[in-house]
Amino acid sequence: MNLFYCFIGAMLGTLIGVLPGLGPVATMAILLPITYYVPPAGALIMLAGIYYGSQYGGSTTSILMNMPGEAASVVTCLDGHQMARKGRGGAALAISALGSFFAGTVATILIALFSSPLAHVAMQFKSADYFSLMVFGLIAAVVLSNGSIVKAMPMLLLGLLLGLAGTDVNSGEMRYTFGVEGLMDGIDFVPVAMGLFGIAEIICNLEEKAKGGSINRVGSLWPSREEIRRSIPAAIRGTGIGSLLGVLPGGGALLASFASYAVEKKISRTPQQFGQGAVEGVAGPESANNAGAQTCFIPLLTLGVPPNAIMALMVGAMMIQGIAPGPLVMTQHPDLFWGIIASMWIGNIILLVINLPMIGVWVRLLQMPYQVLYPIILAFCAIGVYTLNNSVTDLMIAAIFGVLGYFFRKVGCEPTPLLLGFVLGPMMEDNLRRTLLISGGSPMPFFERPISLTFLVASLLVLIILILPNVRRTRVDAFRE
Amino acid sequence: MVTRLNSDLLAGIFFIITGMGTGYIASDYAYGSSGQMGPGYLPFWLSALMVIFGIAISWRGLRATHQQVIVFGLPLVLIICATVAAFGPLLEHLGMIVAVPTLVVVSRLVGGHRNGKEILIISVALTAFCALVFVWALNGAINLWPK
Repeated sequence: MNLFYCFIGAMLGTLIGVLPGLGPVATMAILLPITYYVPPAGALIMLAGIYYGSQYGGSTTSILMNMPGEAASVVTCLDGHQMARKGRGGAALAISALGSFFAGTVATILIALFSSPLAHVAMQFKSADYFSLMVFGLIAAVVLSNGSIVKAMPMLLLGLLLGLAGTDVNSGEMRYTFGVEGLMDGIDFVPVAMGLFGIAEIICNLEEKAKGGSINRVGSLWPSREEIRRSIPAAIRGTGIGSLLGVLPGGGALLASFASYAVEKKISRTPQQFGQGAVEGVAGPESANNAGAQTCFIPLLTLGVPPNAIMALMVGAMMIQGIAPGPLVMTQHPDLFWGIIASMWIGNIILLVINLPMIGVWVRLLQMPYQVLYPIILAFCAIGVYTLNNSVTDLMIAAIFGVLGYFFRKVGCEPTPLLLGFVLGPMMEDNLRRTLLISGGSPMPFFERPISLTFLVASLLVLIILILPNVRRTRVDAFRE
Repeated sequence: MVTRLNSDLLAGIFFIITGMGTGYIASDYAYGSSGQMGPGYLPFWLSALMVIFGIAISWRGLRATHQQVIVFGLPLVLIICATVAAFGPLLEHLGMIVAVPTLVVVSRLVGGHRNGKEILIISVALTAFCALVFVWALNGAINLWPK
């Protein structure tokens, strides 16, 4: 019976998650009421199914329509959508599904075998280490940008500032809310992403179309042998990265796809392909994302720390069942623990079975002439943004970011660093504040703690490697002038 | 709107203005000290850094040698985004039956695809689909009809 709930959850999650504008969070919010009609144990499993389904659906919109439904999908848009533009959309979807399945399987095994030691390692991370990890993540965002670094940095800063908007948890002060009630809880990710990626993309496409370009070409639906060959090592690396980062309580999984993309770009022999449709740029991050999404169950089950709103829902559901997450949950409730783990893997299989055949459907759906497609996409975006919080303010935010997104594209500023800064901003400030509070204003903890120092040094190295070629190039140009 | 200004210069000016704006607003918040960061601490430094980068980018833009022409299709951007912003109140007060077709009609007209029959079919089909999915199947708190 529970298997049935898992299947239904996965199916619904995918179907709703595929609609542009409805990312995993929105999908779960919409489908949550359905779980009320289901007995509690089944509801938990159904929720998990919806969660994975919406993530798979989300990568579909990222690849086919360049619309990220959640923070981690942003990376998939980068090369996944470029692959789609070159007619390799079906292949990108297949690679994404297979990579995610592989990652999910490995992650499930890791959880089954190594929960305790992994949780123990995760507990070594303190606020200084988190901060440095995030700094490293932000530098990775700059690596991600294909444009100029000088333009990526202020986008990052803007993202950080936007992330700080809302009520400051520490002092209760309302920052950058301009007295608007809808902004008191901060700006939501979905309106920003929809505006910057969805609306701006549509507007730019309309301009391009007026000049007679074509958007939707479709090649074969299955990845070529070459693509599979290149994806396998990327998927393995991505799984490793995702599994490790996912274990960190408090949102390590977020960084997983960004870190994987940065790694793939750095170790690739053809880095200039990234941003143009490099298949490793899809395989690695998608695997990392799924691995992280699964291993983040470890801190959830053993420490009770949910990395995001969705997991918080699960914790709540578990507590209703009378299960308090904690280090003893494995021994006290082995049947539930292993039940969840088993359902995770089964969920992955179900999703693979559902999604691989559906790839053909989605790709064919998108072969509709663009003039029919774009009003539909726009409408789903608008409805999706609205249903998030039943908020009119969110739609205005999406509209504003639509204008901004258009401007940014015209002046050559990449939106990706902005989104990453946006997501990491509040957490960075929180960890920074906590570290400085304990140290009394001294920055020493960042350099004294080995983990923190490692990340900071790594960030510096990456930054130097990035800047050096540019400096040399500017010098050459100056000489020529 | 057509401009000969360099894209770097435009971006740089944007960041300078934005950075100064956010910094000015942040000056109202308590700064605190490094040991006890106030709400204004990080926003201040982020704004300052943004202005610095803005100046750097503008400088690069001023020194650029190649000509660049950037065209901003203002009517297209502003009208579509305004309609998206208006979608909220339209949905809440006049229901999906008005909001969705409005979005479709406006975006099609402004986008230059004026086939009346197509617009009608898309509006009807889309509204029906959304009504089916969001209002009936998912029991959403979305109005189909005007209040």
